[in-house]
Amino acid sequence: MPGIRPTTARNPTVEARLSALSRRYASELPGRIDDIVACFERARSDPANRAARDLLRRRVHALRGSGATFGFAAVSEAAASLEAELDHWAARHEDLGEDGFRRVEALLQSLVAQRPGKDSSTAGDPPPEPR
Amino acid sequence: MSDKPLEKIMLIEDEEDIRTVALMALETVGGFQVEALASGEAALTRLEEAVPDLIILDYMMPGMDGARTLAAIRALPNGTSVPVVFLTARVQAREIERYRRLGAIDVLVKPFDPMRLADQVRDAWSKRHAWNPTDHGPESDG
Repeated sequence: MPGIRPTTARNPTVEARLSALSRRYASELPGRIDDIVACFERARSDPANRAARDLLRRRVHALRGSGATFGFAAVSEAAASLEAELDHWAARHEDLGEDGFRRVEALLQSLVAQRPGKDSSTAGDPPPEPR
Repeated sequence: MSDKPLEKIMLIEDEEDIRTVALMALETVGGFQVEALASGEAALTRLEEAVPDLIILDYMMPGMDGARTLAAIRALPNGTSVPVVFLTARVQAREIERYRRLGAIDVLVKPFDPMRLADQVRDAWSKRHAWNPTDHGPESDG
């Protein structure tokens, strides 16, 4: 399972706590990605709903900021690409349009591809290597 | 400014996962005394009672974001000179320049390595000598 990589002097207490946090995050990650997909669908079904767009953007931003901290670097990278597209959309202060939604959807699929399976080990980054 | 060691940190972060791992990293790995709060509003209330050596402030939060929180901190009688470091995933050059104009002494990047965060915070703390709170603020955010 992806996890936080100890990078300094080994401290079993710290490592155990980090490992527990990482496991919890991994167990919750599929639900977070599913929630982002649901946010996208809401935004797409109601393009004029700015609150739905903002919620989607916040959820993606949060995932970008947390994924790699818990060992899911590819999740952070996919979320960063998606967030950049959403930022571009927000900066223009206009509806995305169907072409825009297709671009976002393609990036969303890249994120969904990083969604861990039920055992949290079937997708995402390879197991961590000590640095 | 004195060379006092960094001891007390206020962490303001709305994301529970990040707040939890940062708190653990700063307390357990870094040995700091940390008070973690989930919003700018909560931080402002707490700052009326006690001021830390350093504030780590998430930039993108719902409601009161990092920029507004920092402006409100600076408006507090005891918040004019406390060093603030932004914690953010947005670290393009123009964004970092904006954070500095707003009055942050440094920027910590999300995602972060929990085992290195304390060292990054100490490095940020060392930069406070070069920072003058009277040179910054919302009015210079253009």
